[in-house]
Amino acid sequence: MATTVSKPDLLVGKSIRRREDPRLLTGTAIYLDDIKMPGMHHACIVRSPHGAARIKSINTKPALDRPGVAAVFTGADIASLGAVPCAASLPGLRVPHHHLLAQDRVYYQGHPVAVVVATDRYLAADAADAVEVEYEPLPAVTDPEKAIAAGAPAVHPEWADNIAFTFHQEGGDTAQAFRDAEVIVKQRITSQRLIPVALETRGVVADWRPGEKSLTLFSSTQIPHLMRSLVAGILGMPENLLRVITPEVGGGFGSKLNVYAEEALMAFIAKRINKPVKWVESRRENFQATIHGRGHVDYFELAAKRDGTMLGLKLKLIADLGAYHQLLTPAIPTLSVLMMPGLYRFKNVTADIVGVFTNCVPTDAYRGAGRPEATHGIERMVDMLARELNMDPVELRLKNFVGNDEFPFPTATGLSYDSGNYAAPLKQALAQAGYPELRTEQAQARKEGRLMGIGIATYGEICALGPSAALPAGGWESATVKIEPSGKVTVMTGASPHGQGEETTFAQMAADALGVGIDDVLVVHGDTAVVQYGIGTFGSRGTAVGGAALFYALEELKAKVRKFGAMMLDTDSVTLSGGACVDEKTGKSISFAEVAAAAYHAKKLPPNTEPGLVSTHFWEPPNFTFPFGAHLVVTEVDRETGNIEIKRYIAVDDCGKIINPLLVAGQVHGGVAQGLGQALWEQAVYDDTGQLLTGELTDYAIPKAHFMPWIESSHTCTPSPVNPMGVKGVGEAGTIGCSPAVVNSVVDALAPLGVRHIDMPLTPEKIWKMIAQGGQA
Amino acid sequence: MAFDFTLNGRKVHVAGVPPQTTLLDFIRGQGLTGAKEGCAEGECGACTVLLVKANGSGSAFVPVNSCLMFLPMAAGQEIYTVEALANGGRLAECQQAMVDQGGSQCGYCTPGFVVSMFAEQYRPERSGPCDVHALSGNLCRCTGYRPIADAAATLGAPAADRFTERMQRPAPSIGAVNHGGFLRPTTLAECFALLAAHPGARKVAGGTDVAVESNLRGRRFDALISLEALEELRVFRASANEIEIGAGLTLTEISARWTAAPAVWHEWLPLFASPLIRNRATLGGNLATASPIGDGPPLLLALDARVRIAGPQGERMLPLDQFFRGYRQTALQPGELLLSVIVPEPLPALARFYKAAKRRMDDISTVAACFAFDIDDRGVVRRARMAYGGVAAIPLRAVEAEETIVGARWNESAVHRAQDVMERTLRPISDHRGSAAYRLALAQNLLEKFWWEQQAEAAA
Ligand SMILES: Cc1cc2nc3c(=O)[nH]c(=O)nc-3n(C[C@H](O)[C@H](O)[C@H](O)COP(=O)(O)OP(=O)(O)OC[C@H]3O[C@@H](n4cnc5c(N)ncnc54)[C@H](O)[C@@H]3O)c2cc1C
Ligand code: FES
Ligand code: FES
Repeated sequence: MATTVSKPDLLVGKSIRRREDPRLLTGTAIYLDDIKMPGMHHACIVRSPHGAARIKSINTKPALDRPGVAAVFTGADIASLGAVPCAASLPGLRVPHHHLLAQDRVYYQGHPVAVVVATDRYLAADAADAVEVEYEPLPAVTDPEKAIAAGAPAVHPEWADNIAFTFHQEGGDTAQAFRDAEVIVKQRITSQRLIPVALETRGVVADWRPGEKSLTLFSSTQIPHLMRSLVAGILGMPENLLRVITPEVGGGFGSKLNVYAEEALMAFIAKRINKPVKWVESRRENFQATIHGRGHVDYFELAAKRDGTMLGLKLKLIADLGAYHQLLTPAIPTLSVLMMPGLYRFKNVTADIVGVFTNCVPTDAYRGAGRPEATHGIERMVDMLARELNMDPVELRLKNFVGNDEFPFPTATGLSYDSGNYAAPLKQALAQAGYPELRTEQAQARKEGRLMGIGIATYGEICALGPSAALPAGGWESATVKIEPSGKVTVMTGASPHGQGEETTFAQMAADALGVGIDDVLVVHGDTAVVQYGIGTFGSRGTAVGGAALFYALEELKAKVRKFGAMMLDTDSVTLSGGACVDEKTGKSISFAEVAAAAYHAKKLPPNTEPGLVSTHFWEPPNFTFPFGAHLVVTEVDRETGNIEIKRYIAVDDCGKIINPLLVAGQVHGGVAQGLGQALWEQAVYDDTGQLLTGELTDYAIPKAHFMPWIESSHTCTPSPVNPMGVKGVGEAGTIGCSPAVVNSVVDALAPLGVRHIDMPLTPEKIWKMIAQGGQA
Repeated sequence: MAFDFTLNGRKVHVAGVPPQTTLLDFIRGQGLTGAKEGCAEGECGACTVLLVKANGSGSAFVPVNSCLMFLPMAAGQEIYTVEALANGGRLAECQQAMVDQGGSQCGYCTPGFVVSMFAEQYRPERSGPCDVHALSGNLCRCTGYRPIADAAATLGAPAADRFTERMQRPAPSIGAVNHGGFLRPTTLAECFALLAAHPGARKVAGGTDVAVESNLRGRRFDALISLEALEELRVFRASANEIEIGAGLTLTEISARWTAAPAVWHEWLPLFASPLIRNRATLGGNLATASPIGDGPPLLLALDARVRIAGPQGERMLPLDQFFRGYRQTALQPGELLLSVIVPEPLPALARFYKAAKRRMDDISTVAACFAFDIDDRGVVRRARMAYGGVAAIPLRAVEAEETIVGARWNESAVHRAQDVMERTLRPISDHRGSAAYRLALAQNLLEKFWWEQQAEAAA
C-alpha cells in the first residue's frame, strides 16, 4: 500500500502511435494468405467468361487427370446447400436463388462454375484451365437503364422486366412544393459503378475437424460473427460448431462486409476432402467477383423560390444491382434516399427507386454506401440552382442550412439529425481559402482564357450504423473488458477493425477509464470462439457504436473495481488513477494488480459482489450520428488535353469529438483519395456482352502517391449527444465530401463554355470533348 | 537443375521448384510473408523486395516487384526482404517514420512501401529529402498516401549501419542457370545454340511483360531463355557519331550511364511505369514486345534510332521504323536477338515527349507522342520527327505530316497544316482507353501543345 499517486494525462484526444504498427511494418502480421496448415490444399475457381450464357456441359475429367488434383466440384455437388444470403428485405423484393456455384446458367462474368482443389496453388490454377465448360452465350444487358427498356434481354428469365423491386418514399408535400416553386432545376446525375480494390483480395481457409465435427473458417472479413451465423445456415450445421477467425484484414471498404459463395464453398470442400483448404482470390477475380459499389442513375428535380429558398426535391433512382443480391445489395439505394435532403431545411421529398438486375457482378456497400450518391446529387443540384439564380453557391447553402437551434432536426426522410453547426466548417473553409480573393483570381484567369474553377460541397452523412431497427441483423455492438488476475487488461470488441486502428483507440479509452498504462491493455477482436457476439466494422460504426459499448463495459467494471478497492482500503469510495485505487481523503492507494488478485482470490468479497473482474456490455444506439463538413477545391483545366489539375484541396470535417487525431487524419486522407478516384479516374466498364473491360489495375485507375493533391485538413467539433464519448464517426466523410466538391469545381471551370453538369469520372477525354464541342456533352 | 541465392544474408538452395514459380511465392513459402501479393501484375508493389546490384565499385539496394521475377532469375543474386530491415527489436528509420506519421492503416501495402522507402533512403545518388515519386510503384487504398509521403519526407541520409557497410562491397555477379526449362546462357554463342535447340522457347529479359503473361494469363512456356547474363546486351557506348544502348540494360541502368542524356530522356523516363518496373524493364524488351502503346518506340523513332540485331548467321542493322511489322509483330526472326539500340548524334536540338493517359503519368498511354525538330536561325524547319504510340496497330511516325513542314517556317500555320495531314493519314482505333476521335485529337493537340510550349519558353 502506497500513498500519493500523480494523475496521469489522459490519452483520449492525443495522437497516440498505433499499436498495430510494429507487426505491420516488420512484415510479421498474419494475413489470410500467410496461414499454412499441414496437408492444406488449394482451391481455384473456374469462372464464367461470359456475361450471360447457358451451360451446356461441364467436363471435369481433364482437370481430375492432372497432377496433384484432389477433387473438382460443380453446381450439381452443391445444389442442395443453402444460397448466398441476402439480409436486406423490402416489400415485394424479388430474390433469385443465389447458388454457391452456377447451375444451368451463368449470369455475370466471373460467376463461379466449378472449383478445382489441388495440392498446390499453381497446380490448381493449371487444372482449372483444363476444366471444359461448353457455353451457349446469351444476350446480356449491363446498363440499368437499357435493362428496364422494352425488349431488353431478361437477366433472370423468370422476371422479364429486370426489375428486382420498386420503392417509394415520401415526406411532406412535394406536389405542393413544386406548385409553389418559382424555379425548378432538373438533372440526370450518375454515380458510376466502382470497384472497391481493397489491397488485400478476399480469401478463405477452411479447416474441418472430423472428430469434433467442427469447422474453423479463417476469412478476410469485416463481420466474423454474422459470417458464422450465415455460413452455418448455408451448410445446415450447428452455429456453435463453426468458428470464424479473421486474421489481419488488408482493407475492406465494404467489400468484405459480406458473405460470399466462397466461404461456404471452402467450408463444404474442407469437409468433403477432409483436408484444410485455402482459396485466395486473384486480383482479376477480385475485379470480377467481389462486389462493386455505386451504380446509380439519379433523376433529380429541385424546387425553389427565386430568393433561393429551397422547397422540395424529387428523385427517381435507377439502381444497378447486378445479377444477384449480396448481403445488403437492395438496401444501399434506400440509404441513399435517407440522405438526399443533405444539410438543408426543406421538408418535402419524394423518391422512387427502381432496383434493376443486370448481367454484372452485384453491387453492395462500398465506402459510403448510398450516401455519397445522395450527397453528390444534392450538392450538384444546389450548385445548378445557384447558377440558375445567379447566386453565389456559398450564399445559397448558408441560406438553406438547418439552423443551429433546430436540433434534433427531423428530416423529411424520417431521420433525426443529432447535432450540428453546418455553417461552421463552410465558413472555416472559405476563410482558409481566401474565398473572395480566389474569385478575383478566377475572374482574371477567365480573361486570359484559362479555365479555373472553385468548387464547394457541404455534406452530411449517416454514421454509427445504427439503431437495430435500421439494420437487418441488429445495429448494436458489444464489448467485454477483463482485468486479469495480474492486473493486465483485455478488451474484447465485437467490432472487427481492419485498418481503422481501434486496437489503439480502444486501448486509449480503457487506459484512461481504468487509470492504467496503455501497454497494459490488449484489444482482441475477430475470433468468434473468443469474443462475444458482435456485429462488425462498417458504416463508420467501429468507434461510435463499438466504442460506446466499451465505454459502458468500462463503467460497469470500474464500479466493481472501486468496490474491491474501497473494501481493501477500508473506506467508502475510491477513485481510479495511475494504475491504482486511491482514497482521496487519506491519499492512500492500492495497486490495480493487488485489487485484481484480491478479486480473483476471493478470500473476502465486498457485499453483494461476485468474484472476478469481467464485464460485458451490449450497447444499442438510440440514433445514428450525423457528421458533416465542407470541402473546397480549386482546379484548372487544360484546354488541349482535358487534363484537370487540382490546385488546392481544403477539407473541414466535423466528426464530433476526436479520440486520436493521427487516426482521424488518416481516415480523412484515405477517404478523400477514394472520393478523388471516383471523381477523376475510376469506373467499372462492362461492354454490352457483359465483359468487364476494366478488369485489371492497369485499366482501373486508382490513385497513386504522386497524384494526390496536398489536402489542407482541419476540423470543427460539434459533439454528438448520441453516445457518451460525443464521437460521430469519420470513416466515410472524406469520400462523401470529395466527389461533389471536385465536380462542382470542374463544372465551375468550364462554366464560361456553358457547361452545367458533367458525370464522373471526369476523364481527360470527356472534358476535352466538352471543350471541343463548346460545352455540349 | 538447382541453384543458390542469398536471402536476407543466408544462402538458400533451390531444387525441384517449377521455373514459373514467382520469387514472391517462393520467399513467402520460406515463411517470409512480409512481401505480399496484391496483383501479380507489377501494379501494386506489395511484393517489393531489394536486389543488391552493382553501383560503381560498391553496391546499391534496388527495389523490384518480386511477383514479376521467375524464381530462377534470383539465381546468384543477393536479396533482402522487409523482415531484414529492423535490427533486433529496433525498427529501421523508415519504419519508425511510418509509425510516427500514421503511415499504415490496414498494413497490407505497408511492407512494400517500407522497402521502397528504405531503398530510396539508401540510394547512393540521393540528395535532399526522399522523393514521393520513388514510391509511385506502391499502391495504398487506405491512407491517401499523405502520411506515407510525410514519413518519407522526414528521412535524411542513413546512419552507418550494416546496410551502408554492405554497400561498400561489390554486388554478386550472375552466371549460367539451367533449371527445369529456365536457361540462362552467359555467351551469345550459347544463347543461339539454346534458341536453336528449343524452337518453342520464349526469350526473357527483365520479365515485366513475360511474367505478367505467366501470372495473369496462365501461359506456360516450353522453355524460358533468359538474356540477363549476356554481357553483349549490356554495352553502353557514347561516341561523337552515336550512342549505343545495350538492349539488356534496364531503364534505370541506362539513365545512370547516359550522363549526357538529352532533356527529352528525362522527360520520358518518369512517365514510364514505376521505379520498381524501371529497375527491371529493359529497352530491348520494350521494343521487342512491340506494344502499339509502348513508350519506348515513339521516343526512339523520333530520335531516328536503329536497332542492332544478332542471329546465328551474324548481325544486321535496321532502322527502327522498319522494325515494327504489325500488331505486336517485329522484324526479328525466331533465332534472333536485339543486341542494342543506336541513337545517332547530333541529337535534334528540340525534342519533347508527351503521354496522355488516364492518370497522366506512369499509366498505359492512350496516346504517346515524341516530337524532335531541328530549326535553323531563320526559323525554318530542317528536320521534323513526329512519332506516336496509340494511333495505329504499330508505333509510327506521321511521315506525311512531317513532310509538310520541313523546309517551311515553324509557326502556327505549319502546326495546322500538319494537323490537317494527320486528319487524313492517321487511323487510330477506338477502345475503352480512348475513342478514335480522341486519339486523333490528342495526336493533333499534342503537336499544338509542343508549339505553344516553345512560344512560352521563347517569351520567358
Ligand atoms: C505495371 C507495369 C507498367 C508498365 N508500364 C509501361 C509503360 O508505362 N510504358 C511502356 O512502354 N511499357 C510499360 N510496361 C511494359 C514493360 O514494362 C515494358 O515493355 C518493358 O520495357 C519490357 O522489358 P522487359 O525486359 O521486362 O521485357 P520482357 O518481359 O523480359 O520481354 C518482353 C518481350 O520482349 C522479348 N525480348 C526481351 N528482350 C529481348 C531481346 N534483347 N531481343 C529479342 N527479344 C527480346 C521477350 O521475348 C518478350 O517477348 C509496363 C509493365 C508493367 C508490368
Ligand atoms: S503483387 Fe502487385 S506488384 Fe507484385
Ligand atoms: S494501409 Fe491499407 S492499403 Fe495501404
